[in-house]
Amino acid sequence: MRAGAASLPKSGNILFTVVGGYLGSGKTTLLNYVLRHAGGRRIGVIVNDFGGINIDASLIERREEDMVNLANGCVCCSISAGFAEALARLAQRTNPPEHVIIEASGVADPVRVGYFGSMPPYRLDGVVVLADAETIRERALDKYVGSAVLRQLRGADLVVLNKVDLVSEAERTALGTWLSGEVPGARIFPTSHGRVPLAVLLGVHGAACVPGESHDGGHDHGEEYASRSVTMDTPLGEAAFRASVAEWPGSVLRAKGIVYLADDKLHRYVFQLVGRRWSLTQDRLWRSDPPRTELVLIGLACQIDGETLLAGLEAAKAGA
Amino acid sequence: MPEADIIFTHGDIVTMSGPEGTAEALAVKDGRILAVGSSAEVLRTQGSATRMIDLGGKTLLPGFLDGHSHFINAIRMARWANVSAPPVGSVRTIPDLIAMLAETKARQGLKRGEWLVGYGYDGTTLAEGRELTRDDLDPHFPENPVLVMHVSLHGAVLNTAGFAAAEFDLFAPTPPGGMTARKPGSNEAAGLVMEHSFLPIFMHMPAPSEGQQLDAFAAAQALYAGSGYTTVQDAPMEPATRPLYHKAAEQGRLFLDFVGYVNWLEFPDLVRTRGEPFKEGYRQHMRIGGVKVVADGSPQGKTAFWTKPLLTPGPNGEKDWRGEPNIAPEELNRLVKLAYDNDIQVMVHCNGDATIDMVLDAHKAAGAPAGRRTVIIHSQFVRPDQLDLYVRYGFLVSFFTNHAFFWGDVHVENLGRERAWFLSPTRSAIARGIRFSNHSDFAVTPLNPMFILWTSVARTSRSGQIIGPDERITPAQGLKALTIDAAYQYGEEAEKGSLETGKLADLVVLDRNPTKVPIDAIKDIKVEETFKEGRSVYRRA
Repeated sequence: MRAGAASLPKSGNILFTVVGGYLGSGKTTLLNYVLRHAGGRRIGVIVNDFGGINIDASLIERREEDMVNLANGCVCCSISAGFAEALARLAQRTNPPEHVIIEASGVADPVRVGYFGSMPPYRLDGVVVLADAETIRERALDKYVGSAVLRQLRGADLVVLNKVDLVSEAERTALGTWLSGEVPGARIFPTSHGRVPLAVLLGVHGAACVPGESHDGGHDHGEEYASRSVTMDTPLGEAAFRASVAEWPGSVLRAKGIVYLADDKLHRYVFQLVGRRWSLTQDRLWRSDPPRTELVLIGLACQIDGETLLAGLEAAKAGA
Repeated sequence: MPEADIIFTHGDIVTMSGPEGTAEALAVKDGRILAVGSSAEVLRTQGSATRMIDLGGKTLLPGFLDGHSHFINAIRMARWANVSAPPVGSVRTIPDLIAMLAETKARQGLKRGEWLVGYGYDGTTLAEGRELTRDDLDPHFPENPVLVMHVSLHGAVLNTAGFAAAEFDLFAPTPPGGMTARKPGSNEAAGLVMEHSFLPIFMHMPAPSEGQQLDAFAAAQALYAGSGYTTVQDAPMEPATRPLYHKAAEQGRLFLDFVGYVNWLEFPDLVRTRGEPFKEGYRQHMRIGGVKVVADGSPQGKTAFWTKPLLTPGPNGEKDWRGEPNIAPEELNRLVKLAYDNDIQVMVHCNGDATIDMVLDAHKAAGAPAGRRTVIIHSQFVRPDQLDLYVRYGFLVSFFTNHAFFWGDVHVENLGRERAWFLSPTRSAIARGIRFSNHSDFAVTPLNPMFILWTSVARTSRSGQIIGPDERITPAQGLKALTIDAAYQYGEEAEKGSLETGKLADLVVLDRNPTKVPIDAIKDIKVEETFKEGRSVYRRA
């Protein structure tokens, strides 16, 4: 029984991301990077080894026994009392985080950790699994942890292939082939030093995309990702839209926006894609908003062919 | 000749020491055994103020030592209703269950709006052949939120007031990883919620205040003392409750000896900051015994870790499922090394043989030092070759033969006869000279040490199958696992575990002698009285 003096807020949507992967894959480095580059987002990070996260002292505003408050509005706490406790503590803060990231332990199944993200006020955004490019294939064969490592990869919405700077080009290609074989449809973001742009890891900050705004060729701290906007005024057939999305290449890592469906012209439909997982759900009535499809896609730079994607969606237009 | 405070005579005194292993009389002075042996010898210590206790043919043994359990459960359950099916409780039907809850409500004097909690619920044992629902509970408990904990501790049945108090939406869709029983033909929650459906409720429950928890220490110890235990354990202590035990000790609330084992997740930090007195002896009946690592899960839950797959599918229908470890080998190696470097005892929960391999590797990687008394807790599906390594490494084991009864049939189904019958292989351990304790893992199975003794001797499952006839041991051998060898596990064999001059007068009186009754009668033997250092701490009404 935990001390629940105030009950958990039922409303409010705190996004929830699980970061998993074996020891040494770079989870701590990634989380450290996120806290340093939060860019105005209030992020709560729950880690296994509080001592290991090593947050830059200059960033720390206030340190409590098992929680560190950063000057940029982020907070980092330890998991030692349990996931449920840590999640409740963060949600009950006066100014709760907008996004909470939980570090799953080295052998944990991040999908199971992700179930905690279905508890209001939390909403699961994605399961991200890191893999160390140098050692992942060997690990997958280990007699003790091999099956756990494969299970982690197969449960990931997004795989971050870390430390690619330490392997040759040929090995990178081989890894890509191996991963596609072991994890069909894997969405992979290759990187080094655990640097994953927050737009890729956590999604674009803020609400749905602003109509008319284009983000072509975006860069983020030197990492290569790109974002593309797609706008269409003609309504789309639902079945054809779903089929089109299923064809999108693995280089599309995230997508978000509103869809105007021919099958139901009265309602907005919200589209969310995080790695391999995506959903299209009915939202409110259009009301005074002009009905149109507006999507922002984020993916590997130079690999999202906006034209091809647009063509695919064009084909989804009603009657096409 | 000093005068004894108490002398016990006219009973079966089972000393657990010496060639005979028995005595005619025993004298106690200042909390220790003054003399034990023949009546003539012992009666020489009789003085005018000596209290003479005529055992009337009953049996006197050293007080039992808890091989492994989670004492915190006794603190939580002190106020809960036992709605378990026999043999753990007496609930066979839904009316039985309701009556148990009502009785507890009356006994606690619960007011309107206060939570009424029961534990040990298992729908599969009810005569009605269905799960308990809120429709069963509502008419009887309109004013109290009721939560009936499932025997697995992974779910519960609530009444309507309970769901309301927990702000649970009866119509909410079942979350991934959860199970919500629904009323037939409807979307409404019926009562039983498990796993992730249960978690939010669990988080909403008001926790007892620290004061209430401290007040529960008397009842919690009474539960253990009532089962004949004089040394008890919590392993691992939850980080949140660790300070509670220190407070209880400081406030003089402990009258049994309590040994706490630190949780592996906070162990490195506590070593670094000297946050726990790992090396100190008892202070006000409390000491820290070491660190406890939980390296895999439960065999019946299919979350243990084996080298060979199960015969049945995994928890989510997986083929060739052999479970998974709960900790990475690198982490385990670091923990074991850190403990050894600091001369701290390590206990590791291992159910599957692959997990045991990991611990053996960790010990070797740390230089295989001698004399560490490293304990494998459960060691349920250890292989014979691993038993040989236990000998080489000087490992101790705390077996769990209760599994033969509670889950023996399930294990045969999941693992096949060869592996299942070798569970908790007590006889093979004795043959190799491996010392072991035997435990309840309370609240996973009941505290009752006579039931534990019976399972080690009979190894009979619920269906009547003998789970490994070759691994059955004698009652005398089984008693060692509850006394002198459990004391050895604690490093306290010089003070406890046998009735010898100089040792603490931690004693238990049983109504019958387990070495003399028919085997199946062992589990019905009752504790008459329990003494801690010569003072009576429990007496059967």
